[in-house]
Amino acid sequence: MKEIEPFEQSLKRYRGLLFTVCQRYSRRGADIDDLLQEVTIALWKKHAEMESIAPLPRQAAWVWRLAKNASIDYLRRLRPTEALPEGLEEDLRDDDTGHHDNLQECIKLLDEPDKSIVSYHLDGYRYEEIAAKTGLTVSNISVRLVRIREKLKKIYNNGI
Amino acid sequence: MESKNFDSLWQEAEVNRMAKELVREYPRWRRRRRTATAVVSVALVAVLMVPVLLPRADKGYDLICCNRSGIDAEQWPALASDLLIESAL
Repeated sequence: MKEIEPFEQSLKRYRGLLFTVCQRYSRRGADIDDLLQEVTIALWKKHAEMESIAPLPRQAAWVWRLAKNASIDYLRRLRPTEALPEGLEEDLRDDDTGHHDNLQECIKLLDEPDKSIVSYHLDGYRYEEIAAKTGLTVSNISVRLVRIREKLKKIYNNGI
Repeated sequence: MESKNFDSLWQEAEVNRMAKELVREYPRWRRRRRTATAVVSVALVAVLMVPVLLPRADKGYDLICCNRSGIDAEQWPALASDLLIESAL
């Protein structure tokens, strides 16, 4: 099980670099939002390898290369290809989003304001922004999110 | 087994969340970068303009000093270097 906090730190450290690379490749017809998402996932998959690289300038060069390759891969996938056989496209889409739907189903079963808090959190809003939207304090949001996660785990394990 | 599944599911959602946070931060970063680029460009232009502006400033300075001290422009550098050496002693 990989740790999420060190990854978040790495992402903060290299965000400028990721923005620069993605901005460059977005000029070739890709959406910057999709590119950033793609690069983040690529970095997550290879985070352990990244952490083993020292010193930092070498690590930054490695991140640059990874972001560049992930962007090129994404642009290649954007190219129009032959249409998939009827029905197969639908199957693939279902398979892709299956897990995420499960989590969304669990979230729907939560009460307010927990439902809003976790939805804002997973939509990429910061604690300060969620606090402003819900009228709660930042520390309260942080504590509540830990509890919400436990609640969701229980709901998930007991079956939706 | 189920618990492990939930943890990996949550982790996946967290990575997606970080990607969305990055996307939301991008316009702010772009604005900051544009401002920084503009400031650096202005500073660079100002530095490049110094050689063009400096002779004029020197001329004005020379004239003022020469008028006040009663020496001509050719004598001024020698006097200035003497004053500098004296103040350093």
